Formats: sequence, structure tokens, C-alpha cells
Amino acid sequence: MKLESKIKQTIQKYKLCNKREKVIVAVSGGKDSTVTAYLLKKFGYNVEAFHIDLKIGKYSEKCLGAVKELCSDLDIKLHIYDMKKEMGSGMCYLRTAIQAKSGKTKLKNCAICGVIKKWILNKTARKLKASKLATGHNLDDEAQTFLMNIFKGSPQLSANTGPISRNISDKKFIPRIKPLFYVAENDVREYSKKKKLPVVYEKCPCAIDSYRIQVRKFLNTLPTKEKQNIMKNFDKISGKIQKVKNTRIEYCEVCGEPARKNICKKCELVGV
Amino acid sequence: MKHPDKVVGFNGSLDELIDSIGNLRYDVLAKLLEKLADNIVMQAKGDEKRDNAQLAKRLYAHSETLYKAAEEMEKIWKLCEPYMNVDKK
Repeated sequence: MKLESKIKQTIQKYKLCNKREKVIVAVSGGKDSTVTAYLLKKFGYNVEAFHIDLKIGKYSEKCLGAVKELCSDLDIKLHIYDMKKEMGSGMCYLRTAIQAKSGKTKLKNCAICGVIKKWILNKTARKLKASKLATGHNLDDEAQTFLMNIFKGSPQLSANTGPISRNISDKKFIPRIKPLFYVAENDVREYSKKKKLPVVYEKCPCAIDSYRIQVRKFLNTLPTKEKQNIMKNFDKISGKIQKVKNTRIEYCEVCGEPARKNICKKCELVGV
Repeated sequence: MKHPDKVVGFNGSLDELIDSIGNLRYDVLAKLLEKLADNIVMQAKGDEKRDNAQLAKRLYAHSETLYKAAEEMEKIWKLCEPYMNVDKK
């Protein structure tokens, strides 16, 4: 099967993981992370799943249901992070509070959610003694990120982009792997449907009006080949970006998590 | 979808309806607000499919406000809960 061999190839070429180490897959209930977990398990890797229950009404209930079904079907150990229990609030509440505080420079929904989720993922993956943290980012996501960074005049932010996080080496940072890095979103969707995987296909109700959505709309007008070209061109220049920027890791003065500055982005947002 | 201007099966006035709903226990009220938000999301999806982009966007944004209101109510409930006799099933 084309998709499966492409992913196998990515795992081998970039040495994403081996069968002895523990890989935590961040599963949302969506097609990408579900396919990631399914295939890593199928290929025989030591996989456990981690789900963040964002507590966004019915949508979150459906996602949790799908994740539980997947893990039960595949016999994957599932860890669940309940936002309300762990952080005192669901994502909607937390985010709107942050937005209200930030005033004029209103931060977009997905940006805030992304920062908080990354913080939770790294912290939990470390707690679970994982060697790698796998996410379901696909070719479309990566092409979007690359273009967004260029449009924003910060190509150096793409320095860590790749099937495995580069330029960051720290005992508190769990390397992130993206086995679907070279697989187009449509192919992932088709595959998940063909395999009848338990997937929530609807989008998050809070994913409105983000910059990424605008870039996605633009990219969706291009054929898959063009998206592949974007990432091929990125590969060509990524070496130069790495020379320019070598990410220095510090520890957040508030929470102790790895950060680029003395306060991590999550703590900066929630304002502790 | 046709939006009725009265609650189907309820013959009282709007004020009477609000009295009944507003007097609900706060945890139930929180659940009601959350379900209302879910319902608005469903409507937003419908409008998105019908290419009513602006309306869908507004409805999604409104559902967020309701989700937040639901959680606010839940927090209020947490304050009251210890002082109330609630059957724990």
C-alpha cells in the first residue's frame, strides 16, 4: 500500500523511532493522529496514546469516544488529560480569559490552544518516560506552517521543521516525530475511511478565523504535487536555516519546562 | 431550517419560561448552556455547508461564548455544591 510504504520510508530514512523505545502518540480523535497511532502500532512499535480532553462540549465527547474506541480496538494503553481537572478550566474558558486579558492584541484561538497543548504534551510525555512524541502532522500542515513563517517574515521559525524535531537537544524536551510528514491530507482521509477507523471528521468548533485557516484555504487551491514541491524546496533551504538559528533551550522560571526565553509561552499566556 | 418563535410544547410566557429555567440547579443550568452551545455549533455547521460563511463564523463565535458561560456556571455550582444536599449517584 502506497501510504503505508511512504510512512515506513519516512520512519526509516529519518530514524524517527525504533522498536525498543516508548513512543507516545498524541491522539485527538481526528483522522491524522488516528492513522499515526494505527500505523505505528501496525508496524510493531511500542506505542501508547495520549489524549487531551479539551472539554469543548459535544465535540470533545465525540473525540474522547473515538480515541477510546481506537485504543480498545488496537490494544493501546490510553492516557487521558482532563483539562478541567488538571488546569481548572476547559480550553474555551481558559482561552477566552487569556484573550480578554490580552486586550487589543487579540490572540487567535488556535494559536493559544496550540501553545497550551504543546506544553501539556511535552510535560506528560516526559512524565510517561517516552523517548519520542508522535503527532499526526501531515504534508498540508507542514506546508501551511512553512508558508506562514515566510509570510510572517520569520523563516527561522521553520528551523525545527521536519519529520523529527531538529536543533533541540535537552533532557527535558521529548523529541517530536511526524510520521505523516510527507503524506497529503486527502490521502490520510481516504486511508482512514478505507480502514474504517473511529475518526471524528468534523473540525473543532473553536477553529475560526485563524491565520492558518486562511493559508489552508489558499493551499487547498493547489494540487498535491505543488504542496509536495513546497516541502521539497523547504528541504533544500533548511540546512541554511539551521546554520542561522540554533535553538537555545532555557527553563521557564515559572514552570520549569523547556522554553526559548526565561518564561515559556504557556506561562506568558496564562500570566502566572 | 425553520426557527419557531415559541418553545414547542410550552404555552406560558417567556418570563415564565425564564423563571423555570433560571431556577434550575446551577449544575443543570451549566449542562443546559453547554447543550445550547452544542446546538449552536450544529447550526453553524449547517450554515457553513450552505456557504453562509459569515453567519457560520458568527455562530461558532457565539457558541464559544456559551461554552464559557456554561463553565462559569459550573464554577458557580462548585462553590454552592458543598452547601447543598445533592444525591450522589
